[in-house]
Amino acid sequence: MKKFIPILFVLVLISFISCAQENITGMRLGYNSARFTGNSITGSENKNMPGFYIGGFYKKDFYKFDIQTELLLTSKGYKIKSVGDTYLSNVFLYLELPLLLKKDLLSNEKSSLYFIAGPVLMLKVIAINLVSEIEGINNFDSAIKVGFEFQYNNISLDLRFNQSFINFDKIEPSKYHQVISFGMNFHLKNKTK
Amino acid sequence: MKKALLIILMSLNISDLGACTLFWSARDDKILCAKNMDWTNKDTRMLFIPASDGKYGRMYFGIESNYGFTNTSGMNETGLWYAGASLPERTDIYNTYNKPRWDYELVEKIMEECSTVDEAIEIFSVYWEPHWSGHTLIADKYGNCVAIEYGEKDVVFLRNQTDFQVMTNFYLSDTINERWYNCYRYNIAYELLSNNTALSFGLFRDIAEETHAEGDYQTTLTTIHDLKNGFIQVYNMHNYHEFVNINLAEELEKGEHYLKCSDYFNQVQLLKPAINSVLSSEEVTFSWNADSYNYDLYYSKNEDFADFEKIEINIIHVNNSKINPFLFIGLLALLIFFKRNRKSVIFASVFILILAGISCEDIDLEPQFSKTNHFVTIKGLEPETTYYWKIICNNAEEYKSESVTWKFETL
Repeated sequence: MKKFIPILFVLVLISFISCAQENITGMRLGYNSARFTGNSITGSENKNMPGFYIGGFYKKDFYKFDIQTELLLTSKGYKIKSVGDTYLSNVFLYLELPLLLKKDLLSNEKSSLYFIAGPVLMLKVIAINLVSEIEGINNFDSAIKVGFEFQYNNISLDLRFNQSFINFDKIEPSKYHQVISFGMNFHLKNKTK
Repeated sequence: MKKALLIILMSLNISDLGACTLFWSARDDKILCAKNMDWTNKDTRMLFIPASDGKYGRMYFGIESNYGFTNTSGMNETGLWYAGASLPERTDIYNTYNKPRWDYELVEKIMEECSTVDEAIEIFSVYWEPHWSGHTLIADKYGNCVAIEYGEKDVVFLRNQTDFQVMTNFYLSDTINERWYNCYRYNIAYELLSNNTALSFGLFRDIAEETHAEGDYQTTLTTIHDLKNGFIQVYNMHNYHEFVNINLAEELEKGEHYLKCSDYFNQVQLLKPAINSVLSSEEVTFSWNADSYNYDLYYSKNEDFADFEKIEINIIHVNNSKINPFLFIGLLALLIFFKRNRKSVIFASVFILILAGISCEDIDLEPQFSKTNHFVTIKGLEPETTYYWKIICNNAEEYKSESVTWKFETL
């Protein structure tokens, strides 16, 4: 099952090649605010973990919608309250492969407002805090991503919400990543219709 | 990879953390405790202060810096020991219960006045320690040990629950978040102390070696204390082939003195016969690296060297000083300036490149060991016999460093 999902992902991506009207590539980078959700999260004074994402995207324009796939290095995690005012910062680095459906809500010549939604496949790079590398973390994760993107000419800004639905902790289950991200995209080709 | 990730963590506004490993055990009438001091400052020192004015004789290990001597562990003549390790920085340590404040560090007051863990706990309960970015392990010669750290509003005391205790750089009192504390040094020390029943300096040295650190915050000093007998073994710069023995009672009789630890080490590295090797009894070559000029080689059929053979070795010092190639680079640069024709520029440039390459130093992956080799060949050992061997460096009047003991078998 673990091998099947990424293979399916790749096949879906390849299948769009012959159907697209226009191809656009570009770069993405931005800020993440991440946390854990789930039943086994202890402590009420925990904090969101600031982070980043960086990577590229590849967009195919179709008649009524666009499909965009990305490859991102992204950080997630959570600041867990320890003793006094100290917090234990757990940082998780993932390679993300989202496959997103984009729908333009404005249909304007120069600008667009997209609604974005789609699944995300994630591969863990490392999980670490200042004490040590964190053990017992699953290598794969999956999530749903929704958000909005405003594009003007070759630059766009987006706001996204990412919710994992696979428990990432092998030792204490019922923990899921949740991320709000805000970033910029740099398109390498003009948007035309 | 780990260094790059630490940079990422620091860029996410997470404070950096030094590392130390402390462990203690009391078993079968033996009480040993040890500390790996992991720090960027390599100028480690020992300070001995004899008893006076109602204060116990005591010694401290620490570092010398622009601020003078800073103690990081110590032991007094009653067999009370303490050592500290760092914790994440916090800004909420307040004198919540308006405790009186002592003029200097509470651990120093404990070394001066206390002989038991209970007395140390009493002092930490009564007085407030304002500057504290770490926690402390304290042990006495009666088999008691306690970890002391700041909790939510005041110090908390975590007494040993078994016959050993380990401390590294996370809050031991934070049992809620135990899942996220996976310190490999803590886990290794815990496992080795759980799985080995007999205590010895050898076991503690092995634990220290398994948990030592390298890099920027490397293990600069390892100290192993026998609390009942007042003996201390000191290892320098995570070199576990060589140690210096300290007898606390004898040192305190000498009066107050302050020593630089590295002065008494010779970067010894035992080479051959390798540990547990099997070789012919007809001819055995003992080989080691070290920077001393005089050695005593001991070999014996007894592990405690009750009956031994000794060979004295005196080395004629060879001057290995090198001519600095940058001197020639400078001369060639002057040649280019004064001549300033095409041929001399090309000639001088080629030589500058060659000399610059020669001047580059090889990367030393094991800087804690000497590169100077010594060897002695012995003939006619007894066949089918187990031998133990070690060397003692004789270049110092006091605090002669000695190697660990290796063994081999003859055919």
